[in-house]
Amino acid sequence: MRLAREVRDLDREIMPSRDLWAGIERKIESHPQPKKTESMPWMKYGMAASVLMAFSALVLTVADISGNFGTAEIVAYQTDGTATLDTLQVEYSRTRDPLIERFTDNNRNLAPETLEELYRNIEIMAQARRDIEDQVRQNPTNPRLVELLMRAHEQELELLKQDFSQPSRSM
Amino acid sequence: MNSRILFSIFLVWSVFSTSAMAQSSVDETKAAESDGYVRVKLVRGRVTVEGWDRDEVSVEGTLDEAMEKFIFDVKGNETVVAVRLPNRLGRWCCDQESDLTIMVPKNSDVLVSLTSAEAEVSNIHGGLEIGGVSGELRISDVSNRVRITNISGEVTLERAEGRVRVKTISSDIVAHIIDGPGVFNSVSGSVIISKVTGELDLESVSGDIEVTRSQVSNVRANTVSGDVELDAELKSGAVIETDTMSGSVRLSLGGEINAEFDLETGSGRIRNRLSDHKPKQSKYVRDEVLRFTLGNGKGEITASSASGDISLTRN
Repeated sequence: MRLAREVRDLDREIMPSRDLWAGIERKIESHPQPKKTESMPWMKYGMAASVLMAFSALVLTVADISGNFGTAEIVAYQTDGTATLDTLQVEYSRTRDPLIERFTDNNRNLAPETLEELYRNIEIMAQARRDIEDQVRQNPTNPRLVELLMRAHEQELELLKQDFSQPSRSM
Repeated sequence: MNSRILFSIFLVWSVFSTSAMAQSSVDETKAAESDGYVRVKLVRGRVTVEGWDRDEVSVEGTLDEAMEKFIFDVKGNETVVAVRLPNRLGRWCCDQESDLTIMVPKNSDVLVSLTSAEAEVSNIHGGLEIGGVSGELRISDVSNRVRITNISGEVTLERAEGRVRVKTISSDIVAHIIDGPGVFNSVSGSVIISKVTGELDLESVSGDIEVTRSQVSNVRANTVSGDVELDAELKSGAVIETDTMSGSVRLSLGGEINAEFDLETGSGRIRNRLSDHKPKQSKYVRDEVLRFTLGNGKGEITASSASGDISLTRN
């Protein structure tokens, strides 16, 4: 009861002494706090793993573009959600366009009708690829379509890499 | 005087030009190993390659009038037959193309590389690889590993045994009597196969796929806009998998049918004349699904189409 009475008699507001904050600061400096331990240590490992995976996917993609484009695309498409069809299309064009130039250069000595036939078929392949891409857009989760697209890419690149003026290849 | 000189120049020019462009012929035979390699290279014209029982390679026929060099060499176990043309041919020059018949030991491993030439190959049993652009390819009675690629010339294959792989872009593939696993792949051409007994992997983007009069164990057929038609007898435990986006699927099955069926179409219709099972329709989306089992359900038949019809009948 006595304690309650004393509390009641206290002033409603108490002004802090003049050197209160300075005193607190001095106390903190003289007794440094131990460093706060990280509450989520797995976060940095997770981030490192993500970076590593993204890098591996990139390396795989770049490495395989020149050789086996299709496999890398499947890996990228299936494991990395961020690798969209748009990204694949850009990467594919980047690989395909120089090959078209090289194809024209390699095969310039062919008979005009043969060359015309080849270009007609290159266009057929390109159209088929565009058709599959449209279907993939409509059904992005259909693995068979993605596989078919990869094979179309692979086949188109194989065709463009060939030098038909030297008849000693297989498609 | 001037006219005489001009006439003489014309005469000399015509004699030389005629001799330079004249079409020559060849008829040579060389000893070769019975199971060696034979390489044939031809840019244009026609070539017949046929296997025989002799350990010799013979080349007979006419050579391209624009020919730069004719090669017929046997070195060790490898024979090369090639007609080399100049890099560039004038439009006005040389209509007469090569027309050759090459006989090789029938167990040779044969590689034929063509550009616009057409080829007929038969009775080769040591393996065959043939690639071309626009010429028609007719191949028959071949065994071992058979690999055919063509861009726009039709491919006809008859009586093949062993692993077969055929790839084209715009041309049709017609294969008849195939005993062995086969991979047939076209972009806009049709794939028409009959009397096949091995595993089949069939793929086309816009061309149709048709398998008839066959006994099948494993068939995988994929198209984007082409139709798929399978008229076959199922072997025990057969697995048939067809998938198309806008094409339709027609399955006509014979023999004793023991399989699980899983058919699905997005906006097409399913017609089942094989049993009394009826497809189920979704309440809100326009799709149809039909799942049922016949016999012991050992086999597996799946067909899916995004917008095409699926029909199931007994043949």
